[in-house]
Amino acid sequence: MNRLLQWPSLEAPFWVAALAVVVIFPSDLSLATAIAVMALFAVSLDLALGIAGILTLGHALYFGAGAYAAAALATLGWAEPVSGVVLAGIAAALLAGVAGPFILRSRGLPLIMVTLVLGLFAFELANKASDFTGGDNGLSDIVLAPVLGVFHWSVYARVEYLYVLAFLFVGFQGAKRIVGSSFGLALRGIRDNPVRMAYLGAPVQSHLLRAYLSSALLAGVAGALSAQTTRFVGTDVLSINTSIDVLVMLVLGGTGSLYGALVGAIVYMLVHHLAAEWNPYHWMFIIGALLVFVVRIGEGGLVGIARRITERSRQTIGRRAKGRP
Amino acid sequence: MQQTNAVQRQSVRDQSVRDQSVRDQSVRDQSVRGLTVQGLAGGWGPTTIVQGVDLAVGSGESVAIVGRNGMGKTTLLELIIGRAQRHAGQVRLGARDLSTAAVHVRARAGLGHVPQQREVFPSLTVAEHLAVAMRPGRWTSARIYALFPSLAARRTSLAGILSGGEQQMLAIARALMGNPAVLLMDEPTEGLAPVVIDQLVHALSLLVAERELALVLVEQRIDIAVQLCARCLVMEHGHITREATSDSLRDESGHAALLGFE
Repeated sequence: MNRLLQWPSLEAPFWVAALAVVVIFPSDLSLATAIAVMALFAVSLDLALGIAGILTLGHALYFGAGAYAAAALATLGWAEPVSGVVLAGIAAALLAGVAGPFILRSRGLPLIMVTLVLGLFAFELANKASDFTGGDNGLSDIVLAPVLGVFHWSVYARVEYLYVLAFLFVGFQGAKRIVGSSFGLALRGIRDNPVRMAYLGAPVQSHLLRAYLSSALLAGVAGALSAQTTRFVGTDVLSINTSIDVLVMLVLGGTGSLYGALVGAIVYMLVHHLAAEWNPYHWMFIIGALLVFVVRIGEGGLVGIARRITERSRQTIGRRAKGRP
Repeated sequence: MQQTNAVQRQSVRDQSVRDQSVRDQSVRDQSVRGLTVQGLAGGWGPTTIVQGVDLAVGSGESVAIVGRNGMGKTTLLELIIGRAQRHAGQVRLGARDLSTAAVHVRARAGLGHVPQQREVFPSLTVAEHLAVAMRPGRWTSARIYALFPSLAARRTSLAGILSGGEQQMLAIARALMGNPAVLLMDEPTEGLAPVVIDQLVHALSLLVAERELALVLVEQRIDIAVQLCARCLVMEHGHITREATSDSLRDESGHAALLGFE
C-alpha cells in the first residue's frame, strides 16, 4: 500500500548482510554496534519527523533519558539487560507523555525552537545534577548480567552487536507496522495537511501525541542500548550535537521511508569513522560535502536517489523491450 | 419542532423571490439528518464576515449559495465545519447541536467538506486518500471509482501529480468516503477546463439524484448551481438576501434578477 515501504526484496538481504558482519568484520564490531544503535535512533526520529511531520531538533532528550534510565537501573542493582532496555524505553515514553502535549501545540519553526530549547535545558540540567549523572565524568559503573542469562558480554563486542541488532530488527519491524497501518496513513495525511485531516474526522492532536510517544520509546531504547553496550553514559547523549547528528543521518538517508534511517546511519557513521582516520579535525567537511551533494540532487536522500535510478533503468528496459517485439 | 420554527422564521425574513413551494419542501425535508443553521455569525479572528445567517437544508436536499467574491460564502462553510471563529448562532445536524464541537467531531457527526483549493495530500496516492478518509458506511472505494472513472485509472498515482480536475474529483471522493450526511462544497468548478467541468457536473448530478446526502454548494456559476440544486440562496455582505427555486431561474433574466440586476 505505501509505495515508500515497498522494498521487501532488498530488506531480507540487508538483515542477512547485517548478520554476516559478525563473520566478515569480527574486529570492527564495536563500530558496528554503535552504527546499529544510531540506526535505531534514526528510525525513531523518522517516525516523528519523517512520517508524522513533527519537526524536532531535540530528540536527544529521549535518547539521553533512555541512556540515563538504563544506567540508573544498572547502578541500582537491576542487572538484567533486556528488561532494563524495555524499562528505559518506557521511561523515555513517559517523559514524552509529559513534554509532548506542551511541545505538540506548536508546529513548524516554533516547534523546532521549543524542542531545541527543551534539549538545551535537559543538557544543562544533566550537567548541573552531577550527583545523579556524574556531570562531566559521566557514569561508568554499569554492571550487567549476561544477556538472557546465557550470553556473556565479550571484549570483541560480538554479543553486544547481535544484542543491539536484535533490538534494531524488532524496533524497525514495529515502526514499519505503525507506518503501514491506517494510523500510519493518517499520520502521513497529518504531515501533508493537519487541518484537512481534522476536516476528515481525525483527532490530530492525539494522533500526533501517539506518534511522538512511539518515537520517544524507540529513541529511549536506542539510548539504553548505547549505555549498556559502551558501559558509559556522558552528558553528550543529551547534547544538541547528538540531536543534529541523528537528523543529518536521517536527511542523508532520506526521510519518511524508514529505510533511509538505516542507510543514513550506516553511511554517516562509516564516513565519520573513515574520514576521522584520514583527518581527525576536518572529517565534518566530508559529511558536509556529502549532505550538500545529496540535498542538491533532490529530495528523498540516498534512498530517494537510489529509487529514481532504479525507476529510470526500469523505464529504459521497458522502452527497449517495446522497441523489439 | 424547533427546526420547523426555524424554517418558518427564516421564511418570514426572506420574502424577496421566495415562493410557497420552496418553503413547503424544506419543512417536509426536515428529517433527522438535516442541517440547521440559526443566526450564525463569525469570521476570522475578531473580524465578522458572516453576519447572522439562517439556513435549513433537509436530508437529501441540495442547496446552492451564490454571490460575488468576498461576500462570505466560503467563510459560511468554514463556520459550519467549525474552523472559522463563531461569534453567535447555532449549527445543528439533525437534533445534535454542533455549535461548539471541534472540527473533527463535526466531521465524524456527518459534515463533509470539499475545500476550494482541493487540498489533496501531495504525498499520498489516490487509493490512500480513500483509505485515510474512510469511515464505514454506504461509500466504498468501488463505488467512488464507479462515480469517478478517471480516478480509478490513477489509483496508485500520487495526488500531487494529478491534474486539477482529478484533484477536484479526489477531494470530493475523499469527503464522500467519510459518509457525510451533509456535504459542503466550495466552488468545485473553479479554474477547471470546460470539458472537465462537464464531467464533474455530470458526476455531481448523479450524486444529487441519489438524494443520499444533503449538498450545500457554493458556486459562482449560476447555470451550474441551477442545474444541481433545487434552491438557490444569494449571499451579500455576510447575509443571505434572496432565495429562489431553481425552476424560476432557468432563463438568463432569472439569473440577473437573483443577483439583483433587474
